[in-house]
Amino acid sequence: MKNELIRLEKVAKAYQLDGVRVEALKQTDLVIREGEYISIMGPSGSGKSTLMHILGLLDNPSGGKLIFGGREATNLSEGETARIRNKEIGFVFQQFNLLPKTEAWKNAGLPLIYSGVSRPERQRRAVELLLKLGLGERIDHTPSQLSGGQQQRVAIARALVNNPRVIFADEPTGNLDSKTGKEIMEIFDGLNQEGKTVILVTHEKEVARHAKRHLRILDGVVRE
Amino acid sequence: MDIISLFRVAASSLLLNKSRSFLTILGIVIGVAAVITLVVIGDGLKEYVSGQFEGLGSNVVTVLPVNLVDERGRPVGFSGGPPVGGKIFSARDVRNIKRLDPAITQAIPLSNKRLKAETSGQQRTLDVTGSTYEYMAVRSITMVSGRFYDEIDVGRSKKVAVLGPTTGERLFPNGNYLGKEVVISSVPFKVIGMTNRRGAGGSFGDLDDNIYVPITSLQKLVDSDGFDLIVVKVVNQEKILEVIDSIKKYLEKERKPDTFSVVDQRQLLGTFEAVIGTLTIGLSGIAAISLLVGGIGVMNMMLVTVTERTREIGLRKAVGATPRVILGQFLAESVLLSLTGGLIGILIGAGGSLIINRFFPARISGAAVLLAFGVSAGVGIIFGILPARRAAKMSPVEALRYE
Repeated sequence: MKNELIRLEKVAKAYQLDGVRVEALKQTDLVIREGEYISIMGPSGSGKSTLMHILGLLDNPSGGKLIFGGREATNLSEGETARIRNKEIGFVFQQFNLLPKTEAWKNAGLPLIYSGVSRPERQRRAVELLLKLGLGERIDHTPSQLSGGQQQRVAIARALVNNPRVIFADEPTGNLDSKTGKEIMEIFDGLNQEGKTVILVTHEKEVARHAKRHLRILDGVVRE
Repeated sequence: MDIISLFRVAASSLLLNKSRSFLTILGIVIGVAAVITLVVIGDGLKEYVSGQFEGLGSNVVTVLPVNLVDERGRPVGFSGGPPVGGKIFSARDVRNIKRLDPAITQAIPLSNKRLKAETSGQQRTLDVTGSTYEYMAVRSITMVSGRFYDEIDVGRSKKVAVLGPTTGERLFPNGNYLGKEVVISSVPFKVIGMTNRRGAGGSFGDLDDNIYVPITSLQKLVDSDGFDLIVVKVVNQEKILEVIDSIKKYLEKERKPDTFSVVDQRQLLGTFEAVIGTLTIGLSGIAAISLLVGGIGVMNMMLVTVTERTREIGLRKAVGATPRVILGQFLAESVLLSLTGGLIGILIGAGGSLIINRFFPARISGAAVLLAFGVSAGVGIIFGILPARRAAKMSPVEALRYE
């Protein structure tokens, strides 16, 4: 058995929406191990994004205990979670979320700014990843000069640039045509084969099929 | 994240929106330029006045029949009511003061009246100064041509006049004045000489736009036997305070308290500098209001920026920017904006001062530049803190979801 990466113990998330208490995630126990390839599926509003935000330390649970990399991470300050996200977690979003009018290599190297890496080193590492992802001739292009698939590759390079332990991908093919989507999914498959933990959040069966372990979520309840 | 990369990231964000950034800093540019220009004019004026005072002759004490300064030496007009006047001085006062102290080398009466002077074709209202022949030595006057009036002229109340250079030019545009006639208050005087240029000072206005006549002649002209003030020459600088003291003691016996003042050159200078200083501060204060408006412009732009870039803030947080770094980044943007505005304002203000200097004394001081630089950086921080805090406090999840 591989090492535990993330452990949820009775983790729940509730918030107030217009004065009504919404339970986005009901008490959940979950263990994610290093090297796993997981899909989180569910219809929109089911709580799959909430689960991803909690697993990715973007949001604090309202109850329960979260252990990340062997370390209690339930009630950390925003600054502390930011440092963990910076070093150990990579995110890929449906809308790519690249900085506009900014060159591909600068976008890919963005997390390194926040780990205090020098500019030449940022450029070296970003360019290396962009080359690996097949964007060799486009390292100086801005997002508006790139196709959707190319933009998502830049976003994947950004998620990988600090060599994190886990990659979260939130509907990574949602804005792409099926052929490009397939190419992007092959990248994630390759990353998992290299040993990276990959967690996909999606509502598409085609995408979820790539994963080896499947979590389904409905009305805040998680099932294997 | 170190401060240099913080400013580098801020600069590249601002450059993505060049025209908007430029328009935002315009308010700061105008404010800083206005403040710089006014401070520069104030400094120049101060330097000009003190330069002129030095030219007036040293070791001189002036006795005035009005209370000009309070007991702490501050000008009365700025700490209390208007100057309180007493009666003018008599010839007896002049004689008595001269005998008060061996350190007093001269004590001469002086009267200044604004009178009408005419020549054939020209007419002006100007200062007519009446004194004794020693006035020339006490005020260190030198002559361009002719002579100053002498003891005999004063003793016999002769109708002779010495022109200041400005007056000479204006009343005798052809330059031919020696021996000519100038009519002062309908009484003809003969021009016997012209002084060298001395510059403004003494009282407000041009000291060179002046006619000097024997005090006795002036007294007849205005039908008065008193003097407006007494000028006392002291043997050296060390004795000045002692002389001031003994004159004060004498006048306290002779007159009602607080109806006179005995001041030396430095005190008079101090009075003028205080007036100019107050004016400069007042005017710069008004100019500083435009700086405030500029600061509000920066804040407004930063608030818009923070809202527009909500998703970017969310993304930056997701990839590892701490709230502190986000705060620092947006503060760096507003400081960079207002500092750039400040620098341009300093350049415009300095350039403007060079032009103004052709018409009016102006002096660019390092202190003024430093002040403007500091103030614009301060504006950036003060008006940037609210938008930057808003950005720092955003929840990454909500910011990423923002449409």
